[in-house]
Amino acid sequence: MARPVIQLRPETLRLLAPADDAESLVDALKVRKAWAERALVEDHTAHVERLITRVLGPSSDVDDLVQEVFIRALGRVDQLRDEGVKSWLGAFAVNVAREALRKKRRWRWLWSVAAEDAPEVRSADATPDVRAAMGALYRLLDRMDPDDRVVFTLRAIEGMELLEVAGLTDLSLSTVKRRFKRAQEFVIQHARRDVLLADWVDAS
Amino acid sequence: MSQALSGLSRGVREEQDRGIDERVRPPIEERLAGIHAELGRRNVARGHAPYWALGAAVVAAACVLLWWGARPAAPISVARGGQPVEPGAWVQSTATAETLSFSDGTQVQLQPQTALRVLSLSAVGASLALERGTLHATVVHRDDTRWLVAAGPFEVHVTGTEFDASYDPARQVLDVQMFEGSVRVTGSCLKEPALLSDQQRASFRCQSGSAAAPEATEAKAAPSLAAPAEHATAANASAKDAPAKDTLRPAGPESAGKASETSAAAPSTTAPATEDWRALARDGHFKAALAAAEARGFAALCASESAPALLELGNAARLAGNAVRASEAYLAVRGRFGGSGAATNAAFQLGRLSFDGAGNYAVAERWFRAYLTEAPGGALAQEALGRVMECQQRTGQRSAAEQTAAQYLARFPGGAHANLARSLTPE
Repeated sequence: MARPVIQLRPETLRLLAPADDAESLVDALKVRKAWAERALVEDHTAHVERLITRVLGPSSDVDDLVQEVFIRALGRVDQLRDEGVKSWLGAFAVNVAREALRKKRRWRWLWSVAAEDAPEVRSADATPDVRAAMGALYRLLDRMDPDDRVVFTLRAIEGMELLEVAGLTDLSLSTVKRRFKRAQEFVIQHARRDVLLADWVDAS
Repeated sequence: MSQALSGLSRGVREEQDRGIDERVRPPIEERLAGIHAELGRRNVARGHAPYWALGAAVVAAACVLLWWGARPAAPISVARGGQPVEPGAWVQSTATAETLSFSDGTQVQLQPQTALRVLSLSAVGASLALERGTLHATVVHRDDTRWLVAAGPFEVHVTGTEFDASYDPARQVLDVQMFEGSVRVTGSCLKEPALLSDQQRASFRCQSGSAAAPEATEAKAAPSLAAPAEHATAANASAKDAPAKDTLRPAGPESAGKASETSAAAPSTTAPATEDWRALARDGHFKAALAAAEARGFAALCASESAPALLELGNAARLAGNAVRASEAYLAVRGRFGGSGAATNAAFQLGRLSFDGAGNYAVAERWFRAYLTEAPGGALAQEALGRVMECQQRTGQRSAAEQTAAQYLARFPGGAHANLARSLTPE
């Protein structure tokens, strides 16, 4: 039971622990402590955003997807173990991003290519522009199987180890290796033929 | 990974990170409210429609029964000269003694020139803050009695007893004289609680040296009161860095000078362990990160780490559930890097720790005010001002809350606390 902690002075901040024993974020989340939920969202929003952005690329839906990640995570907080809040949330983020990819792919036939999605024509001597390259890369990734894309973006762009990718995607390490190899070959092959990407690939 | 893609990957990553850093996110309150609303909606939707109403009725009935059976007893009340005293109210005696009479029979007499605040009232006791002066308490004993007198860095936990407590805020000395029963005295600079009973008398002081101990104690508690140096250090840092009630200033050159001395004296061999705890913290293993920091020597890290690292250390400790260590790290930033952006950030985190951790709104308000004083246009100013208003509302400072609400609406009419501010602003 929480003791009645009161103080007037900041030097007594040691008394501010939420409970008699040091209570971890995980323990507090499981009993739905408001401070813990707030801390989870406040401290991990950027991490979740980053993973979603890596997988999806530029997207106007990031806020909604981040929200969905926290809704799912807090709805299944009983599955959370003491270690690895970050990777636990990461798995939700990857799932949400993958579902968004599949949804987009499912309905893609309804829409024509938007003007901003069309590749820009660039003069050969122009300086490689990272934004344009990023747009071109994600347009290329749009043509890839969503599961391959998830593996590729987490490994190549986020820089995760393959084992970490396997943990987040719930795939075996060998499957992750196979998918990454396939995705990488696809990207290199097509990037060399893309005016916006060719310089980047060659420069590397 | 293929070298062919490394430049492209790095370019994309850096570009995305820049975008993420610059993102304007929805306010945290809005996000949390949305999450809870959606969770509630999904929980309801998960039910089977034909049985939904029946199920809800059964649950509601069960809740009513449970509530009826387990509802908390009404809190005790307190009066001064026949006039009720509300929680949060200050009581101050001048030339003559004043008596607070509690509805459970407990009497607290304030000797002349004593200031006390009734912080909270519950069914089993009350929490009082003795700001200065002397009180004589006669607490009526029951099995579950919970009375507490806070005085500076000390707390006197009372069951059923009669005692005097005096507090001198200038010297930060607490004197306790027992007449009957027993009390337990705790404090941030005391290694262990001190138990006093019968006719014992003890003085407690957080010393400015490397150890903390009771002065001239006649109590049995004496042997257990020597505190480790790091506790004393933390207590001293707290005392030095706490924003004073009336003056909220960033730490000045004096503390910066001390910081450099401490920093210079710190061993340079801390780097490998430091990397360990930081790596663990960045991976979200907060408990393990804290344990690694403890293994290296938390106090040493507080004395040697850079400001950003200390903020990380504080965050890791906070997320591991250790508010003591979190406050030590944040206070170290305040002490060693006074006047810096990190110190200002630490003030906000200290406020947040007080606010979210134990709902200690009086302390939280002072830290948030410190932040606002040091960074009136800072990135967290909106949140800090909103929280100041919440603190004032929760501690019953109605007119101050109204003023802050008006200020908030003028600055952040669409802010996360705008609804609260409007509800506090008189029509």
